[in-house]
Amino acid sequence: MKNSPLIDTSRRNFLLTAASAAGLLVSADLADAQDPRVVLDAAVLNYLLRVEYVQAELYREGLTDFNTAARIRQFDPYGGQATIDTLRGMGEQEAAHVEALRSLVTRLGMNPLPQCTVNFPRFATATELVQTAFALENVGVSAYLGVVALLRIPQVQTGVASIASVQSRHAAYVGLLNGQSPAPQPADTPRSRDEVLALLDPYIGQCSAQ
Amino acid sequence: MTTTFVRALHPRRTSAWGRGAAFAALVWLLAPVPASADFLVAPYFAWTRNADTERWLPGGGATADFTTGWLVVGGDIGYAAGFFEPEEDVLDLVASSHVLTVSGHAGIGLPAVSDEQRFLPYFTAGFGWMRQNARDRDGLAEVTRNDPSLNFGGGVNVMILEYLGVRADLRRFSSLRDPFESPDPIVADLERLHFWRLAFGGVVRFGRE
Repeated sequence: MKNSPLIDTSRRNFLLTAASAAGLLVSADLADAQDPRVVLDAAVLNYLLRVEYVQAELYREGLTDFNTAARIRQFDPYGGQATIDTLRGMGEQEAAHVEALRSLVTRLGMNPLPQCTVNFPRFATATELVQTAFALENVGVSAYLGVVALLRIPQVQTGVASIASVQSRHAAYVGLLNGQSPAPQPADTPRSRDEVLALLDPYIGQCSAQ
Repeated sequence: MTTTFVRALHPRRTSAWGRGAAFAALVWLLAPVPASADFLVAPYFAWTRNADTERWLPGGGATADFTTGWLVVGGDIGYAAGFFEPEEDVLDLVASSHVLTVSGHAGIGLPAVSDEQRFLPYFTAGFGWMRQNARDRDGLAEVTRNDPSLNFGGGVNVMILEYLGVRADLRRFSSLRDPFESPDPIVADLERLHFWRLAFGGVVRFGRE
């Protein structure tokens, strides 16, 4: 028996509709799929966030106390108010690093490390603050150096490298404040995750969503 | 292009050669072989190549094949541990990762027409499922994908005894699913996941007729 054109058209429409619907379902599913190849990059960024949280809090919390004339005078051997302003500026840059790293993690489709609680003892002298800054900026440099070979996504590499170079400038500056050479050796040494976390351990607490 | 050039020089001879070769191949494929229906089970160790990290990852799995005449039909399950981890993860940032493949396949293989026949090469292609997983140590980044995938490859069964042998297999797996597409092009350079797997193992033959 020969099918009528009407039946043929209906069948064709049905098949086309079914195929389109199936295609839409499949494509919607595929578009949302994340990729395990970005997990390492996201993990690296979250690791660096831990360092940046501590550094940002160092300048924010540490400099809060240096607000009286007597306290500001403690910075005279280091350059006085101008140095305090420079350190505040570095703190703002560390906060910008936090935002940049969090943004990169989010763009990878992952969750950034939540803000960590960070506690510093009250710095009795400017020297204590400058020495702590020197130690933590160098921890930052060695942490960034340790992740260079792990990153595979070009834009993440660029983002991390651009922050790492500023970390080095910070380390050089606080090195000079501490009477050290800004570049004491021709090549820096990367630190392992355990070494970095051990050095941050006295200051950092829980990292949880607020 | 070479074929066209040769045809231009010797149109009749080339055409006769081609027809002859095609006929020989057809005869070879369709020639009756003594009835043989084997069921092969092949557990294996495997090394899976991740081109991104340039590493061969150890793993293992098993293949089961039914062969009758030239036809090979079967299934395979394979596992590669640490697939998405860098070679020297001194930072130990990725807690675990793997690729798991479950697939069916079909193809051709040299039929075992006698017990003395030791070398049994085969080529198969198939379709299946590719599970990819990676999890970071902080528990903040974990991804599991379940992709449809294609595979093709071949190898050889070397029968040492009538029912026992060894197998080598080289196979390529390709995901059929597009990589993650971020709202902005930060991960635009990713391609569909694909990899080679080299496997060595034993092969046990059942149901020899």
